[in-house]
Amino acid sequence: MDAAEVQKKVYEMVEKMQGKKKLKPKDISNALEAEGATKEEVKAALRELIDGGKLVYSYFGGTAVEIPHTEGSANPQS
Amino acid sequence: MADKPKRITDIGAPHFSKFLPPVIAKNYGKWKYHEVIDKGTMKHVSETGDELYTVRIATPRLVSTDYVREMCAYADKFSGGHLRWTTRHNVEFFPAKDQVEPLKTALKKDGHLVGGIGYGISNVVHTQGWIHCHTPATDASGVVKAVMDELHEYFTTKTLPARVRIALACCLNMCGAVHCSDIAILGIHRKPPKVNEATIANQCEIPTTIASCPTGAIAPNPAAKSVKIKEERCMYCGNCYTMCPSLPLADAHGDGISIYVGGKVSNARGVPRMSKLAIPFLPNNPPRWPEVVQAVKHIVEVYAKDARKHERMGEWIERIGWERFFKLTGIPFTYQHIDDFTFARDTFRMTPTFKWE
Amino acid sequence: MSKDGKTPMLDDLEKGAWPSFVKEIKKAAVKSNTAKDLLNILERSYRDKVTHWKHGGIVGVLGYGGGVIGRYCDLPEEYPGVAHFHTVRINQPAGNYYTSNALRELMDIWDKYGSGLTNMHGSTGDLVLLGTQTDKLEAIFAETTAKGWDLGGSGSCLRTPSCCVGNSRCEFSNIDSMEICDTLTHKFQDELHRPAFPYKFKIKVSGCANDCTAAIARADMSIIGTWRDDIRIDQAEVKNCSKDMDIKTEVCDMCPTHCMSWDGSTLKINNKDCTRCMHCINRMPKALRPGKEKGATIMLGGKAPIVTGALMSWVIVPFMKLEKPFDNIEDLIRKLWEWWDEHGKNRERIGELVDRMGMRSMLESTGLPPVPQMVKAPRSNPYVFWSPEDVK
Repeated sequence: MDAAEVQKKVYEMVEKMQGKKKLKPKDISNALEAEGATKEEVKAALRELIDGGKLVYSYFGGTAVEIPHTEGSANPQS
Repeated sequence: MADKPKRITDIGAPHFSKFLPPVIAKNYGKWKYHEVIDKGTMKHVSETGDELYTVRIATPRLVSTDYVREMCAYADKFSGGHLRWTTRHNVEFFPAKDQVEPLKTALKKDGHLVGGIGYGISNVVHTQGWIHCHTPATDASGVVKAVMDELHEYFTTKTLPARVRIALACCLNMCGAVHCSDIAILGIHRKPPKVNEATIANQCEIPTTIASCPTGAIAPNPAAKSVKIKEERCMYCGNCYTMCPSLPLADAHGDGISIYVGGKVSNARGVPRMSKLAIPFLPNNPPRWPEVVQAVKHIVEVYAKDARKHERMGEWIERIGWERFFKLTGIPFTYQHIDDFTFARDTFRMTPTFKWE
Repeated sequence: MSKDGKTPMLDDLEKGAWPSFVKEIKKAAVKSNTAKDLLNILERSYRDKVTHWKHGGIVGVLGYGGGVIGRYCDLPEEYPGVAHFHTVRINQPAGNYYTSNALRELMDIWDKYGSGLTNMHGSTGDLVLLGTQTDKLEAIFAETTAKGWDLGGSGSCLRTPSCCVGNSRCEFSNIDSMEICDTLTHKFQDELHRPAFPYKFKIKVSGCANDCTAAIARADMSIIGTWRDDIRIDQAEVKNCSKDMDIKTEVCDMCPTHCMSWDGSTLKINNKDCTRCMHCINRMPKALRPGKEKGATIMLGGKAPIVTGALMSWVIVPFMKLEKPFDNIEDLIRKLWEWWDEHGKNRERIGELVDRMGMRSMLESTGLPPVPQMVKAPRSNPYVFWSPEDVK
């Protein structure tokens, strides 16, 4: 699969689930592998999106990938 | 992001060779034997004949940058600018032979405790507690300070039959993995989380919150865009609170401390073993936790009196039997002492042979 | 904090012989409002008997999924200095050796951007910088990496590996634990910073069975040094030792396999029966030394209680030579991760996965042969799962 296409699919998948279910990198990989992408392609796409700041890792007892947002526990910075 | 300077990433820790004292770099892998000179001093001798002296002091683990600078100043003056930390939060210096006594004198004059080597109580490994943790059932630094104010002589001068490793974790998730310590001080919650109905809909993702519970104790409450807690299933791990700040479980009355004993990780003489429950609950009484301090001190003293030389606490208890441990310490045996979780059956006595006390 | 900003309960913990963390917070509070409000909110916790922190799961530095732990206080109006109180984990050098210059550089950076409070070290081993705000994280990262430091692990990733002093100062060490720790840390940078595992994975390296890093209790992968040949004896030194100790009672009688005898002039060891527990060597380091054929026992599965109960690691490779560049252990770890990645559920540690799937699945996928050293005893229950292949 084309790198830009994988990135687009990854982002859309995260966007769709944002606030509903926290997606682990493995969940994303499994879903896109089923659509024909390889593990390596998904990994590269995640890295590109995360290094570019479009997605971020989060950790709530387990790691997930999300669109940057203000989390429930956050306080405004003084 | 193209206009930003190139970020440095993935370089890992600096290689340790940058930090080794010259005598260590020279004799790396060539050490022949060591001698414990006193409770705060060791000498290692190399096959080359070189000698390395180590002087150890206790730290409070939570320290200021100025404290670290103070340690650096001792290192510069006495230890060639080199120092290290032990896995139990002690600082070690490596003075030349003629600097050992001047260093110790300087450290003691400034109020530092020199010790922690050999048969006694070394520094307490512990977690963050009320300093930084979101699910603690007690404080960590304060309890450790109170306990060690009472037991510090076992660090500096007094000896015990063997090492006694004390560790504290401020909740049962044990980011400090204290479960194989001679004495484990463990914070516990005893009440399930309370749902903050006013904030939960905005603060939390309901499905992930439900999924966070290891025992399936959280059920949806769709009408209120909230959740319900099946209280009888909760074992108070606080995972849901990590996920969802609207499920706090800290409770001034419910929270406190339990004491587990007899664990070790060393394989010497006998295999490693987990610590086992001695006291199910003691209240949080800051700032000095007198009940906890007394309990720990009492267990140490009974052990010191009854154990044979080289016997770790767990080895001593296995020799005399748990029934006698409870008799000697006077600690009451309760329902809570009998396991009813995952590995319970392994702990039942499947023989009619036991002691009466 | 009481209205007048006094902290009577914490002040009490400045007294006493043991070093006081309250004094340390107060030292930092002279320079930092974050440290000042930490003191105040901690006094509040001492009064309320509950914590005042919330977990933040999303703060970090660009590109990494670990190394920063987000914290916010639940009373930001009263304690604005700790509205944010994030922690930065700096990957410690193997063996925790430092030079004063290197530490001062780190401390200067921390005074510039943080509370001025630190843990030397955290439970996993990192040098922990305690208490900063979201907008400082990138600057801290830039300045520490410029000085040669990197962040440690947090999240569902490889956590910062740690080790004992090993060859640097210990004659008991059977492996170069510091070099192994450093090498694995660098081989696995991607796995450390970009979490892709079902849950956390910890590696600890101890040079001998005394296990000074508590690897067996605290690491999913416990690498523990051992040897295969005979304990080296210096009989003259044994005699010297006998002047200060009762060798029969304190050494021979406490040997778990009763493989030693002492007749007053010669110490005999039946090395075939020795299980290398370290007791005799600990007691007489001048007289006894581990053998020369050194390597490590590789153990798997250790962890703290969450989620289904604490585990201690068990043997998966009884003996492995570990020499630079340590490709054999890297290879094994990668195979284990592949198996875990394929089968592990969310938040399932690798030891728990072995529990659920059985040792066979793990052994087959890693190519490790079943050997008696892996078990305390073979099974007693007759519910054996036979595969069609076995029955052919």
